[in-house]
Amino acid sequence: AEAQTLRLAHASSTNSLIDQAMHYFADDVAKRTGGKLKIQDFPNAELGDEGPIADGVGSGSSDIGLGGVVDDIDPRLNVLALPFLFSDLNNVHRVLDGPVGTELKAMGQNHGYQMLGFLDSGFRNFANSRHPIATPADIKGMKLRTPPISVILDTLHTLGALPQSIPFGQVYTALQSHVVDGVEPELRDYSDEKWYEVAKYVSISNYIWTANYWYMNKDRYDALPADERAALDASVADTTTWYRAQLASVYASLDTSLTAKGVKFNTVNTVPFQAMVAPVYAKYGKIWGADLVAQVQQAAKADR
Amino acid sequence: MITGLLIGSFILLLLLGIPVVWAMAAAVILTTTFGGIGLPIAWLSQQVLHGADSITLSAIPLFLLAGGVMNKGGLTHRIVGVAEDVFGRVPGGLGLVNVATALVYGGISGSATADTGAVAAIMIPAMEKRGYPRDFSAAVTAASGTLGMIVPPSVILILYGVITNTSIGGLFVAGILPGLLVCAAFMLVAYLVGARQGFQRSERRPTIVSFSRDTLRALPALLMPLLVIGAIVGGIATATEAAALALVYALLVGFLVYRELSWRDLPGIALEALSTTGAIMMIMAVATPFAWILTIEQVPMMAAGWITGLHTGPYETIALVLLVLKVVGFWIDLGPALVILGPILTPIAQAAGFGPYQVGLLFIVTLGIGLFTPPIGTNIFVVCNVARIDMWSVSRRLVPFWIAAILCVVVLVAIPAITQWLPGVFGL
Amino acid sequence: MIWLRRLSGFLGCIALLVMVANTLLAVAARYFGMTGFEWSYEVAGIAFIWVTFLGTVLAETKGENAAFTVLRDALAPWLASALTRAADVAIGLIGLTLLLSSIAMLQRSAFVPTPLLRWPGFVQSGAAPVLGVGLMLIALLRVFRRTAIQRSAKA
Ligand code: NA
Ligand code: NA
Repeated sequence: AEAQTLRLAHASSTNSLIDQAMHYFADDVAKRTGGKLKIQDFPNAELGDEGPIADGVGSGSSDIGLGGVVDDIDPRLNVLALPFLFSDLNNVHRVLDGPVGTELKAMGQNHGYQMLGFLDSGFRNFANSRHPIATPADIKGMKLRTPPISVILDTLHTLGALPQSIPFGQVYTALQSHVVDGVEPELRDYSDEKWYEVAKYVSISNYIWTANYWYMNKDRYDALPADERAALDASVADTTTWYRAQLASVYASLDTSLTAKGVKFNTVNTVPFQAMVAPVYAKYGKIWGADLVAQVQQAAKADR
Repeated sequence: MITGLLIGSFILLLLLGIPVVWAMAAAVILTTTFGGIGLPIAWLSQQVLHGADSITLSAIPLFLLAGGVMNKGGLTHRIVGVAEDVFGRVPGGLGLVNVATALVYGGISGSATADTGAVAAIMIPAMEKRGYPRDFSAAVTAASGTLGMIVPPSVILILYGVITNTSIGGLFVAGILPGLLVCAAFMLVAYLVGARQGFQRSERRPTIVSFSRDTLRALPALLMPLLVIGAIVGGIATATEAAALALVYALLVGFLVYRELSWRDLPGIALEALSTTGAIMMIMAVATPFAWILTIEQVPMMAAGWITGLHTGPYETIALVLLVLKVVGFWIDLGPALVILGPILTPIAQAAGFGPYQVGLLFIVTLGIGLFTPPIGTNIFVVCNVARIDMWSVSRRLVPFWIAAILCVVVLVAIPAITQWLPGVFGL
Repeated sequence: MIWLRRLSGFLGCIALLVMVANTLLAVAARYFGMTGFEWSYEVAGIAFIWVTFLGTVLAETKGENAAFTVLRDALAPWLASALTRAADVAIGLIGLTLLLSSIAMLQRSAFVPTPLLRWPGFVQSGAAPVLGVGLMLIALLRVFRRTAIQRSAKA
C-alpha cells in the first residue's frame, strides 16, 4: 500500500514532555512500518484546544488526539480523576496496565473513538498566594481556580474551598490581582504557565490524578492494514514506557528550578482530607455507575 | 496549490465586493471542496463554533453596550467636554484624546479588540459631533486600539511569556515604555494630520471657572475608568467581568445621576451592540478554519524555516523575522500566529543578539500593526462597523499610522534599553 | 426581511441579557463567597455564542458586514448589480453548506453534555444551523425582492 500520513493533534507546548513523546512515537511508528505509516505532529493547540481536538478526531478531520477533555468520547473515563484514588505514579501505572485499563480502553468505540492509551497529565496539587495548606482548615473558604471538570469542582467544594471558573488564559492576571487565591494545577502546568510568579505556596497533596487520554478515530484505526495496526499498538506501548521513565527526572528538575525561583513547597498529610471526600464517590457512583467506581477504587487500593 | 487556491479565491472575492466574512467562508468552502484535502463535512461548523467560543472576548459586546449607554446617558459628552477644555485648541485635539482614551482602556482589558470596541463606541460619535471626518476618527481608533495589548495587563503578552518561556511579570513591566512610545507616536500623527487638514478647533478659550464647572459635572463619568481599573487591581473582577461592571456603572449614572437615559433607549443600544458583535466575532470564527488549512499546509513553518537558512547579520535577521511575522499575521489572527511562529522565530531573533523582552515587545508591536492592516485586521472591522464606513476609506486614513508604527518598531530594534531597562530595574 | 431582522434582534437581545446577567452573577458569587454558581461562566459562554451567531444574521440583514466596495462601485451599473446578485447567491450557498455541515456535526455530538451543567451540546452548537438557515433566508428574500423590483420596473 501507499505511504499514509496521520495527523496528530495535542495542546501541550512544543518540546514539552508530551510533545517529545509524540516525536518518539512518530519515529517509532515510521521505523516499525518501514515509513509506510507517517505521523505528523501538531503541538501547541495549533489545530484547536483539547475540546476541539476530541471533536475533530471523532469526526475525522484529525486522526489522533491527546487531551484531558473526554465528554465527547465517554464521560465515564473521568473516573480516573476521583480524589485520592491513587497513592503514587507506580500505583497509577500498574492499575492502568491491568484489567481496569483494558476496560477503560474499550470505552468510546460506539462514539467513533479508539482509545490508544493514557499518558500522565499527572497529580494535581494546591498552589496559592496566601499561605501553605496543611490542614482542611487552611483551604476552607479559599478561592481556587478550577478547570470546568465537574469532579474536580465537587471535590474542592467538599473540601471546603470556593472553586472559581476563570478561563485558562486569564488565570495569571487573576492570581496577580487576587481575584482568586490560588489554583490546583499539575506541577508542569504550574511551571509552564509561570503561575509561580504570582502564587508561591505549593502544597503537595497529589489530591487528583488526571490523564492525557490518547485516542484515534476508530474508522481510521480499523481501516489500517493488520500489520500497521499492530505496529501502531506496539509504538503506543513503547512510547508509554518511555514517557513514564522520563517523569521522575522531569519532576526532580522541576523541584530544583521552582525552589530556585522562590517557590515554597510543603507536603500535605492527606488523611484528614481523604476522610471528607466520600460524598464525591457517592455522587459519581450514581452518575458513572456504582460498579465501575467500586471496581476502579478496589483495583487502586489492592495495588497500594 | 491548496494555499494558492485559498488565498487567491479569498482575494478575488474580496475585490468583487463580497463582505470579508463571506469571502473568507467561501474561500474555505471552495478550498475544501476542490482542493482535495478530504475533510469530513462536519469540520466547517465545528471550526466556526470553536472559533467563536472564547469567553474572554465577551468583553466586546459588554464594552459596546457600556459605550452605547454612555453616549445616550450623557456621560460621553461630558467627558468630551472636559477633554475639549484641555485639548480643544490643539489641532486634531480630539484625535489626541482618542489615543489617550485607548491607553486608559488598554489598562483595563487584555484584548485589543475589546478595547477598540470600547473606544470606538464612545469616541467615534463624539468626534463626529465636533466635525471630524468619520474615516479619520475610525482610523485613529483602529490604530490606538493596539495600545491595549502593549501596556499591561495583556492577554497576548501572557501568551508570549508562556510559549517562549519568558517572565510574564517582566514582559508586563517591559511593555510600559513601548506603550508610551507608540501612544506618543500616534498622538503626533493625530496632531500633524489635524494641523494639515485644519480640523475644526474649539472656539471658546476655557477659563478656570468653566473648566472646573465642566470637570465637576463630568466627575461621575470620569470616575468610571477609575472604578473599573480599581475593580481589577483590587481583585474584585477579571477584565471581562470588569466590562460588565462598567456597563452597570454607566446605567446607574445615566439613569440616576444625569437622568438622560430612558428605558426606551435600551433596545436600540442592545441591537447596535448585537449586530456589531456578530459582524466582528463571525470574522474571527470563520478565520479559524482558514488558519487551520494554512497550518495543515505548514505555511507558517515553511516561512520561518526560510529565514533560518539565510544566515544574515542581526539587523537583517530581525527584519526578516518581523517580516515573516507580518506576512503570516496578515492571514492568521494574532493568537494563532504567535503560537505557531513564536517557538520558531524567538530563538532566531535572540541568537541574533536581541534581548528577551526586546524580542517579545517587537513581536507584539509588529503583530499589533496587523490588527489595523487590511484585508484581515480585526480593529478595522470594529471601526468600520461602529462608524458605518467601508474599509477602503479607513485604510487610506491609516497610512500615516502605519508609518508611525513601523518607525516605533525601528526605534525598538535600535534602542534595546526601552524594553530591557525597566525590567532590569525591577530585577526581572 | 423586516421580520427576520426583528426575530434575530429579539432573540439576540435575550442572549445578550443572559450573558450580562451571568457575568455579573459570577462577580457577585465570588465577591460574597457564595458557592454553587460555578456554572454561570458556562451559561455566559453559551449565551455569547448565540449573541455572535444571531448578531451575524442581524448584521447581514442590515448589510453591515465590512467589505471592500471601492472596485465594485467603479464598475458599470449592470456589472455591479450582477456582482451584487452573485454575492447574494454566494451567501445563500454558504448558508446551505453551513446547514449541511452542522447537521452532520449534530448527528454525532448533539447530546454530548456541556462540562458543568451537563446540558445537551446542541444548546450551544445549535447556533450553527440557525445561522445557516438565516443566511439562506436572507439570500432568498434578496433574490425575490430584486426580481420583484425588476418586474415592477418593466410593468
Ligand atoms: Na492591556
Ligand atoms: Na492584518
